[in-house]
Amino acid sequence: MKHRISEFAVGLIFGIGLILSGMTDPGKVLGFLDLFGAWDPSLALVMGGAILVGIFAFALAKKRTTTFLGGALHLPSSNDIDKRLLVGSLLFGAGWGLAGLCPGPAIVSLGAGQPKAAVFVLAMLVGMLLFEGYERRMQSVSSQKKADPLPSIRQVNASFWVAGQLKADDIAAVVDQGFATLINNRPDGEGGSAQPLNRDIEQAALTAGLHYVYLPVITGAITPAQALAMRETLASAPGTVLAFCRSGIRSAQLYALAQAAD
Amino acid sequence: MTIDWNNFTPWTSLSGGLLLGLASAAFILFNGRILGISGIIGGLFRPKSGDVGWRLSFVLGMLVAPLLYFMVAGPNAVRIDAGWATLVVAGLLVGVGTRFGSGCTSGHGVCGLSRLSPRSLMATLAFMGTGFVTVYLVRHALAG
Repeated sequence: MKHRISEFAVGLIFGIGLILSGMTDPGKVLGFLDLFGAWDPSLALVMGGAILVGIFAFALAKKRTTTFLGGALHLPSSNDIDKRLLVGSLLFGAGWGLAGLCPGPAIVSLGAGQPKAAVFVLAMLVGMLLFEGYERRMQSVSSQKKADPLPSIRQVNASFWVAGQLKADDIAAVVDQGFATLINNRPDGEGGSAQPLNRDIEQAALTAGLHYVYLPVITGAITPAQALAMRETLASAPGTVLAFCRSGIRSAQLYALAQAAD
Repeated sequence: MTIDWNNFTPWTSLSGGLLLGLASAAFILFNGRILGISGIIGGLFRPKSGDVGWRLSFVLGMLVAPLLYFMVAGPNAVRIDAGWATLVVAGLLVGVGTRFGSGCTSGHGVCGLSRLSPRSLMATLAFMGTGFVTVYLVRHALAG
């Protein structure tokens, strides 16, 4: 409770400071940002005054491990000056220059009952939500890539790739990577019970909308008829093709023989 | 450039700034947090247990601040020239930009510069830079 009261009090002091300084008046903020018109330098004094006090406080905070109330001290640890920081700040500056509002003064003006500030804050919250959505998407994409990369996938040419044994669970990744056709060249049962059944993979592939062909061949014993069948399969296959066997090598050999078949 | 002496308010702006510094000082030294508005609000979108109350208390204080100020000093004159569409675009830019850039005028501009952080200095130069450029474009270059 002690903490809740002090946080509330700090918010109150900060809000009053914003009003007194002129930061909650977009007309004044834009007067400061208008270097090439009639420039109002007041807000330089706001920042100067704030840093004058802040510089001592943070020098003290850096020497301490806990707060005066005995709690944890959360000082930023990041030092990276990266694209995110710069692009984000550039976008923020553009928004600030358009309306003359930044997050703190917008919240205070919302408390003052300004309808225009309410609209701005709403749009700002939507912007923050968009950021969260983007972050989550990026996280799930990167974790997915780590979780199930297609086994030993290799590119043979622009429209033909090979991979090692796939499972029904891999189909989503096959679709994600832009393949439209999937060919299974490994005979069922070759690897005993450890080998996923063609039936299951085919089911998943068709459900996901892939064109699917089962063309099993045996290493070192690929027949001319099989090479011809592969040639015909490739000729009629939509989009980029992914073929798989145990390791991908047999699919690549069959592809080479298909090119020579007639 | 000409200085707009009519609207120049050195003493109220300086004292307001000192209050902002005082609040930032109290927040780090007593509550252990950086006083950065965009971070405090943005953190509410990824709520973790024990990490919500302090944000709400602080924001509530900011919302109550104008009521207290007006009771003592009377309402302050505020001019919002931006139209509704501009406010929406500006709000979106500020929301997305401050989260990607990890801070706004308070977190980078006040706390970051007080911490002598090069990262915050670069961020502050970046947003002040586009702030100046945007106002130049809107008021001078594109105004005809």
